[in-house]
Amino acid sequence: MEAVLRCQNLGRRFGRHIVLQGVDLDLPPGEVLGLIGPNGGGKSTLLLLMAGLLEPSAGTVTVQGMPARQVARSGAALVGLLTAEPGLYPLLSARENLHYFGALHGLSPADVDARTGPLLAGLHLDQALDRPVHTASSGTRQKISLARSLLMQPRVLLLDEPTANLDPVSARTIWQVVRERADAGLAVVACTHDLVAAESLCERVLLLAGRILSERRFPGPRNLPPVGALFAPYQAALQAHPPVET
Amino acid sequence: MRRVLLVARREWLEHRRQPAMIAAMGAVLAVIAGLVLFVALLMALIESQPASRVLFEQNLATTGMAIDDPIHTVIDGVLSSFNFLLFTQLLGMTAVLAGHAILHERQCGTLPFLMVSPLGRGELLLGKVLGAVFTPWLLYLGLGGCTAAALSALDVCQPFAWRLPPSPGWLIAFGLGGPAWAMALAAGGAALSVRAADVRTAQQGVWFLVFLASIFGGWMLGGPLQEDASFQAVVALLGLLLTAAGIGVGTWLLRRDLHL
Repeated sequence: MEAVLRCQNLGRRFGRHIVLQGVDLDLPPGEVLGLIGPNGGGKSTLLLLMAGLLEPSAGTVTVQGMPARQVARSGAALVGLLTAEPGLYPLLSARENLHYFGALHGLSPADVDARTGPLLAGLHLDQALDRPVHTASSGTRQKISLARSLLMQPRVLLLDEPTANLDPVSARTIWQVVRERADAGLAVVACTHDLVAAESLCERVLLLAGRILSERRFPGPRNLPPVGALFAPYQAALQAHPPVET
Repeated sequence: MRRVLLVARREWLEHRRQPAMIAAMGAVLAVIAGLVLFVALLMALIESQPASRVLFEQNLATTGMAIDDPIHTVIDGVLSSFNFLLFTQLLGMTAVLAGHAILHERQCGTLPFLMVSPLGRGELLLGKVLGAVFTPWLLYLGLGGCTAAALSALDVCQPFAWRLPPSPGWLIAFGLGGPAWAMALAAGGAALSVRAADVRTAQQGVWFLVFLASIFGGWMLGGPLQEDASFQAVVALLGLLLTAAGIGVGTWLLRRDLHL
């Protein structure tokens, strides 16, 4: 299958410090590629290069054949982004945030509502939509950010530790949506420290520390990470006592 | 331009959600307007009553201030101060709002999402500038404009009509020069905020801009109003050129790699 994202001999240095070198990878549609590795190993730098937010010092990174930097500058919306920080305006409501980012891409508020409605309803976020974002829990904010990253129906979704600040139930919800979208053909690159999630969800996992140290493929259907004995009571407690959204 | 206005509108929406901030800005202009009107009305009252006028002049003489025409000297000083304060406060308030422009995006974590959208760097900065100018400009227009109109209706101010509407120099300074220089300050603040890694750095940068604005902007807009009106037109044009330069520099800085 034709790769939707391609890195060839990709490298990046900051001054004399080489953060990343010699990265070669192809990502076909529908695959979730996990990036694991120590802090400072170049995972986030690789994601920024893929998003076109950093210029490569060496090599190339292309999305559907177009240099990633050009994709970002053209606003072609081929790449969706979800970072550990939700990246929303705290004084605006979730709906206003979504409408704003949609409008930048030329979508009317009605288009935005139509595109995000089913996902937000599925995530039970209907009630939170018209409240200022700063009053929402971090899980709610991240789900809104996920809806924003999928708004333009990108071909590639880049996730930079998307569940870092979330409770296990919210984290699982995020992973579930990501896996469903991947099964529908979205190519995903997920940078995470959650090794269990990476092994369960990803077709392929790269261990990165300045360069690709190893690559591991996980054949067969991928699924959500297994839950331990504490998950069910945790989930029940969360349903009984939902987070206070001030 | 549509995306510029989207950014400006979003900025304004955020300002509206902070009524205390708007109240603080309004309070500054209201205090200036109140003081100026109080002194002008007091001088008008004294001038209308010969006995009070004599008493006022005698009291001034006892303080050692021998002034030929004390009432009009006071009015001249009041009107001069009014224009200087009106213009410098507009510039200062705008610079403070714009000085966090890109830093605010960085702190909200929204910058990478904007950078992968069709929004151009220059569009983002221009939207930020317009958004920063809008609320102070509304207050300046309302409070400053009404105060100037009220002052111009007082007989005691007539010898200094060139300092007030409808003199062409004042109208150009108020209608064009003030907003143009406010945009220039906002553009400078926005450009500073691109590279400011911390809010304290941004604030010190803004303080420097406010210092420059107070010295040069306030003087050019409020001082030489007696000059030919074309002088104020040149000052306004200079403000627009500086705005373009500020946005250009900011855009160039934003074009570089984005460090999150």
